[in-house]
Amino acid sequence: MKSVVDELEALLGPNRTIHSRDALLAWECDGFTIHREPPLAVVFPESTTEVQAVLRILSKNGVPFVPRGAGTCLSGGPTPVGPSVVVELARMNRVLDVDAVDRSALVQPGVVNLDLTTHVKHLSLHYAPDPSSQSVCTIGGNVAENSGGPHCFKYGMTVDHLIGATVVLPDGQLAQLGTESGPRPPQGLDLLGVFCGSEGTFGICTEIRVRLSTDQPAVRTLLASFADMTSACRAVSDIVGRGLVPAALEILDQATIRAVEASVYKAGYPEDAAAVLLVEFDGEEETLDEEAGQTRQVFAHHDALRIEEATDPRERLRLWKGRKGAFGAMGRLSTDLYVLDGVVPRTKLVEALEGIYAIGKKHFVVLTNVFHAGDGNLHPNISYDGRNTEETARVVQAGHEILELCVKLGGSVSGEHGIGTEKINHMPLMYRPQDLDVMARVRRAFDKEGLCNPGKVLPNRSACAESQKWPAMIARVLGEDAAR
Amino acid sequence: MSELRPASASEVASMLRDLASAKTSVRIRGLGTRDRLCVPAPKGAAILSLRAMSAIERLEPDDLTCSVQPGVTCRQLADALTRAQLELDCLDADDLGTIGGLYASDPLPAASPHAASPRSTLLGIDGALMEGLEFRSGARVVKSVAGFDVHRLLVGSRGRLFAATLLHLKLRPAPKAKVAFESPPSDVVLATKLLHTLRIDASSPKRLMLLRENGVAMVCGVASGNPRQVASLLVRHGLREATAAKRPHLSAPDVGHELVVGCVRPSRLLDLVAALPAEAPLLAHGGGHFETMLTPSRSDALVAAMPRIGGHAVVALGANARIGVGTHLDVGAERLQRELRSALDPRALLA
Amino acid sequence: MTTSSTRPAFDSKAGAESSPLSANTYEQTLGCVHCGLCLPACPTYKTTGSEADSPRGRIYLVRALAEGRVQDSGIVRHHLDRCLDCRACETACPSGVHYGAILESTRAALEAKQPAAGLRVRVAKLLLRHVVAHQARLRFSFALLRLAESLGLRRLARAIGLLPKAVDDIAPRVPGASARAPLPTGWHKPRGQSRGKVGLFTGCVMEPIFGHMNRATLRLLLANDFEVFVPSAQKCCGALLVHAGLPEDAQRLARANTTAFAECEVVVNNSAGCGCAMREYGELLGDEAGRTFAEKCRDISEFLADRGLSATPARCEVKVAYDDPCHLCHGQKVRQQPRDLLAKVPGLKFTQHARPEDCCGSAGIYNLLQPDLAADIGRRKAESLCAANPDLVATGNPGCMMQIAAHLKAAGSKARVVHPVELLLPEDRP
Repeated sequence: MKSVVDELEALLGPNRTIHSRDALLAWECDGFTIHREPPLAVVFPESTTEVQAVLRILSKNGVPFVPRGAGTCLSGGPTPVGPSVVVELARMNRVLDVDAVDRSALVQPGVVNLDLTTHVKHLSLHYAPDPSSQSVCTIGGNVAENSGGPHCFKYGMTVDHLIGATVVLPDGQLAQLGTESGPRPPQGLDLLGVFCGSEGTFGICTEIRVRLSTDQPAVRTLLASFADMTSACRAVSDIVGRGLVPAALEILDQATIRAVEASVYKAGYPEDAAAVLLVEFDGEEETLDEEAGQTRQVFAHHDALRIEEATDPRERLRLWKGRKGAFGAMGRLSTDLYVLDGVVPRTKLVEALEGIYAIGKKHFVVLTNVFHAGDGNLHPNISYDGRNTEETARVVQAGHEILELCVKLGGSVSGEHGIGTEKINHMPLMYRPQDLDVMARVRRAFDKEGLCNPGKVLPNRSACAESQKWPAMIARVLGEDAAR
Repeated sequence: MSELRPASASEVASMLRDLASAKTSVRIRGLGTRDRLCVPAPKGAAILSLRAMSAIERLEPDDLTCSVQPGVTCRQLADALTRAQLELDCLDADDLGTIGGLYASDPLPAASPHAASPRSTLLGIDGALMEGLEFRSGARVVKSVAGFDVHRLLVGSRGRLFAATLLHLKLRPAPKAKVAFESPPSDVVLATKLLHTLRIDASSPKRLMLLRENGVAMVCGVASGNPRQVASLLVRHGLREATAAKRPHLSAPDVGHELVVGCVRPSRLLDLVAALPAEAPLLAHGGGHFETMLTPSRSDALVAAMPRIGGHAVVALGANARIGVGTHLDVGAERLQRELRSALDPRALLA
Repeated sequence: MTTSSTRPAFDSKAGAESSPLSANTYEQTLGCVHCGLCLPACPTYKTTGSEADSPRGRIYLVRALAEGRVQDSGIVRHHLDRCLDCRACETACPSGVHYGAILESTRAALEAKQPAAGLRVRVAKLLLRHVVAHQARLRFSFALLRLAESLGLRRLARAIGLLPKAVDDIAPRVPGASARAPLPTGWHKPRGQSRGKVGLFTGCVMEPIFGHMNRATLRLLLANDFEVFVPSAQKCCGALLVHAGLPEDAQRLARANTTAFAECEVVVNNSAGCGCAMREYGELLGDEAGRTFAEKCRDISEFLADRGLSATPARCEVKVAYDDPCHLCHGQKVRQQPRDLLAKVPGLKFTQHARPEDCCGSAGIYNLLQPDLAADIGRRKAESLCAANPDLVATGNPGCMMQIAAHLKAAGSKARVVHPVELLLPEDRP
């Protein structure tokens, strides 16, 4: 009998079907490296029709699958849980259509976030959501995770920039979510709104119509350094309290500043400061003068040590460079990096940070903080050596306590990285069993058989029963001989 | 049957549970101001009104969030926000209905990148399923991606998936200037051109509409933000300040006519105009949604033309049998709507 | 780290008996935190979309190999061999991972364990070790090739499939004997007052195929009043041997070069690939002589931009697209200097093309070993260049010049490919 891999290879050819056990090791994790598991195979479809055909083969055989883009997810979204096939969408990377009047673009899921902005630059348009990995991550992945970024304080998350999507449901059927003009047809449900952020568990989007934003005539970036973190956080509250709506409000703590300054992302941040606050405004030149002036007043009021202001693109890039490269630069501190992602109400930032540093101290972990201060979205980073199981356990425990703290302060266990496998056990901190039950029902409406990216987001109570079916399924996928 | 008016979330859940065990259909509503947009409830259906749940539970100006019960009126919330120097993008202070009704009916998607769509101002809900199960979805903070966003299914659900008992909303600081504007009257081609230009302006107005009545067209809306920015926008596009903002909806249709709502890509707006009779009133939003009034035979003609134009058109108000007549959703989306309804309300009691 | 005392030291035997990698290579792989920022910089990832063909994926596979989790090291080898070694990932990496070092040491370890199979690879290796590495043999081979070409044997080879089409398209016709004549060795004096003394590295393939470029470089340096020394004892830089996993052969050549240029304070070269390799002699030789030599190496554009032109370049009314050779921009961090120099050419206008720092797919003998991938990558480069519609494409590496010229021709472009040196020459004085 033909194995599933044979069928896939017959469909896509040997160059677009990988099933060598050793090569597959490359797919065993994403940006979250604590959970690792290689897939049974990887396939590279290049069109909606091919994705449909792949999913038909897989669902017919009861084989779970995992959609994947650039693998920059920080919560294990594209990492297999249990034997499954990775559907790699990186080759579907074409911008299909740009409409300057509608201010929209139709893209395939593998289009890199920043490439879309580059593609429409000549029209003075851009794609607003800008996760720190924007030069790598794909729009498809952004839709799955509802990615944010520094600028979502003013411009919103991925979900706010979606108009429509063509989705291949797990059994291969096509569904059109949203409409040509808006996210929801009249008298219809906001299917796209609930699909976005489903972390690849509701289906695979193969065409996405996104809203493009008009470039602002001018941008002003200010950077202030402070002798203590509390002053930096208070400055943020004051800025927002004055009714200013900056495009971004970012804070880096001292340890982050030092890591950044030691890397290729060196931005000239003052290394003696306890915190730097990055504030960006966009709009017309004269209003920026006014807003920057008010912001400087706030900085002065909170005893800023040094204030820098950048107007030209090169200087702005320099101020941003360190923030954008912060995570990569953290790689210099140790062999592994755990990037956490919790949210607290902005008024609780100081309290949250104090608690987080205390937790770090308690567990003897190397911990730094870089965060979207406007949204109260914290990114504590823990550097550690993943080969050391005892240390890794302490890191995981510290992470758990930090998220517990965020929820206790009225926040969330994830602001933009998603739940994936990473925070699956933290979901009960935020939701009761009945809340999770309602979520599970919605998921089943999209994926009856539970084949689409299983083992993510919702704690699975029947995992044991599932695993008894694995040997037979693996044999179907690889063929009897190879499976043995 | 008389109207049930629960006063708390647990009362909503227990009433729904009782009705479910009696296999009674239920129509969930607020003050009933949008009833006219719904197919009448089936005979014998119970009416569950959330009007008694009218408390603003929490308003946090520093966190830019609030939690409100579904029976809070739009006017009530708008006033509270004004006092706190805050605003909610999709809120219309002249709206007589409730917040629950606003999100559950047909709120308009955003016209400009500076305005938030209803789906993005709704951060989370507490809700109750027909079977009486109380649940939470989303969060109270401005940003959270934890779990599936079941709360977004409230938007446009018309009370047919679950009852929302508390809504967590994302607010913004009130803009320093907020100016209603309109263009000089012109023909619809010029007005469309102006609408397109305004859409791509870097300071695009938060509310932007093209209105054609009695054969005369104009562009109107509300611009907000920094006073200088607003002033220069008006000058740049030859707009003047209006005494009052135009309502974002057409009024009730004349006898023999029906209200048709739909959506079309803004770039195809003139194709839509070409498919309408010259005398038909038209309200087209910058976000792509439109409303028009037609005789039944002309609505049918428009519905038939929509596939060519791209987009949707549905009769929203008219004879009972006509409500909901319109373009079909695609097969996959239809299936998902069905599956979602049967997942959350398996016995199809929410009418 | 707070827990360094409990951290298990790496023990190559503990992972797997079969791991051929050094502890140092393994340590280097651990610098990668799997962020993925290198992916869009990688030409092979952009072509295949495959994690295993990305820098992050390759490092991960090397790490798995070191940890003894790989059954068949041939698979790792396969994906490493597909790497162009362009180093664009090193520019992109925020953690400062030395990808090139990991790649080269792993290739060497795998080659030592089991020399690569396949006729084409074996022939390439033989040529590299026994012909390219020896100046005289190389010269003789090109003479033979020239003879063969004039007898029509090249067409024959192509017809019977000995010469792959992709390679035939790229490899230039061998110039006549006069053009192949080696650069006169020894000291060359400028006409005017000398501004300093430099050694000129002439390269192996550069001499017989691009001899005119070496002559142009010599003329340019003399015209700009530098005294130039061309040692007769210099050898091939050894880059291709390092890339092929033959470090011992490369070391022999490197030693010869350090000696040949011992009396020079600056060694100028006009081939980005060679320059990059020579700047890594410190690591290759692991001694002071290697490091000293590496310090002295300068790309011609870097050297002249630093010292300034004393002779105005000849007027040239052309639209030029400058394309960064990988081993210049990523390998030697030389980006602005060639542009600054070209901007001094009277009449010359720049035209911008998308992603000038992307690899063109040449990469030493890569287009011989991985013709399909190289062709895809070259096609993309030609597309972005054609969109800018230049009269000339300037780039400072012979391999890139061949690859880009071939793909421009295939794309129907009339643009010629030149070395920046050629544009910087002053008017010929009568």
